[in-house]
Amino acid sequence: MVKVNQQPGAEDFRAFLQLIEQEALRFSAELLPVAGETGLAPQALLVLDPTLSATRKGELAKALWAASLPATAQKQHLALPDRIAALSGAERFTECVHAELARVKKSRLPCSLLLVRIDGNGVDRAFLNKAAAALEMAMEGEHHLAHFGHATLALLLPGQNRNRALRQAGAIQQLLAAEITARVKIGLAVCLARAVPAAEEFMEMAFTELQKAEHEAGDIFYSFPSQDDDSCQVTAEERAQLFSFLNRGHKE
Amino acid sequence: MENKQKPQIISISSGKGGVGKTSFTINLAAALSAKSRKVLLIDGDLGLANVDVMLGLNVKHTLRETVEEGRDPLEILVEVMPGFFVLPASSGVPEMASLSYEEQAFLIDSLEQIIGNFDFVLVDTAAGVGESVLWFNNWADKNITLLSPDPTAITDAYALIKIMKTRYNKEDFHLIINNVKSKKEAQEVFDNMSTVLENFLGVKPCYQGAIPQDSAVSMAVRQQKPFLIAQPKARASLAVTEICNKILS
Repeated sequence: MVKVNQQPGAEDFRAFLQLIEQEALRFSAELLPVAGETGLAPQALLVLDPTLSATRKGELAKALWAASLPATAQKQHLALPDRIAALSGAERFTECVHAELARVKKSRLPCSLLLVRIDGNGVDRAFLNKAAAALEMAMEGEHHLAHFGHATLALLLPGQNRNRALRQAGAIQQLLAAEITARVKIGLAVCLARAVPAAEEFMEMAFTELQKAEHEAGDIFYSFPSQDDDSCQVTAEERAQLFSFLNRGHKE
Repeated sequence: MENKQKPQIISISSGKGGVGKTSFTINLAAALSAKSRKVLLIDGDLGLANVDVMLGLNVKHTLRETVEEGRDPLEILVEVMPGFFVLPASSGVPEMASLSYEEQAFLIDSLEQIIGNFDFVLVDTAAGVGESVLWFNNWADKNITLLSPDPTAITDAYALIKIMKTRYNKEDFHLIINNVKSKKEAQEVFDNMSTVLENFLGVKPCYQGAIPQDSAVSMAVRQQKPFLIAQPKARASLAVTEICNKILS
């Protein structure tokens, strides 16, 4: 465990933490910035074994604060795990998407990816933490939430087709508006078994839609494989041929 | 039971309900077990099961308990006759008819833990083209589609095959024509379906056989017995035996 304490309010300290975060991406380690309960910027970093459970991470964070702060300060800064830090970063999320797309090929079930950007100028880590907490309430078993850059969260929805994912996007929009009065822009990509893209391409598809949502009218944009190719509707021509032998029978 | 090898998994579907899937499936299971094969019949109509009803079974546990409580499927198994086992499902449980992605994966994983004990696994799927029908068909090594000479049954069977081909890249379909007046009628239905499948989907189906109209079938349903057991010499029983031999060959 590596602990880095800060001088509260120092801007260069934040830059220092970011430097450590970047460096840590090269290793199989998880960073857990420890914030005060008011959700301010991180005041310390834990470098953790990524296999630790969420409970154990919380215990370690509390232990760190108990060891490093005077008793009076402990009451004010009871350490709480930073939700954003507890999520996968972009690199690990790509691995997760990769694994899920492999599963789509095997199970033939669809998969959807939502990129949710929290709109507004004053989006800081504390606000993003609240958004992540709200999103976690809407998540189900195999959903996977990740931090996907500054004010963007990514949500992978295994098994969900376009309609379900769109419903989920609408629900997220309402939920975040209600819980943290945030307006969100959402880019959605849907993957079907007949045309599974590479993980990077799939994320790029969602990102393109997110950019559309940011620059065009409307909050939710989505990308979906062509409907023509996917339609299984039995056509009039097919029906005509299916019943042709019955007609032959009548004529005979 | 000791886990051995991978059995052949066969799904039996029709698209339309009332075509005779369950009746055919329990009789095929009986025929296979009569040939000394160990058969597992899974009631794939998870929310409106009736394999147990057709066989007159007094079921204590169902697949619902596997999905909801993690009960080992081996504890649910019912032995109908030597070598013929049934995994019964629940009836009147809409939640089971629309399992979540995780539940589906869990169920398939649980089933894969036990199927090595059998030579054949038959899945009697639900009617329609719901998700469970599609993923059971995707799971199976061999897809049998049952249809009757009715236009509705023909259309629905075609629609199911179209979905499995378009969305799941399945190519290998085996057709059984049920409730036919004659072999000639069965052949006409198959030939026509085969032509349409080839023209529009590029699929060449395999003719697995036909089952004639036979009063023994409805009598056996009322007796809650396989017609193969109730009336082994009935025309329908002989037809199922012929289909069974074809599967074994």
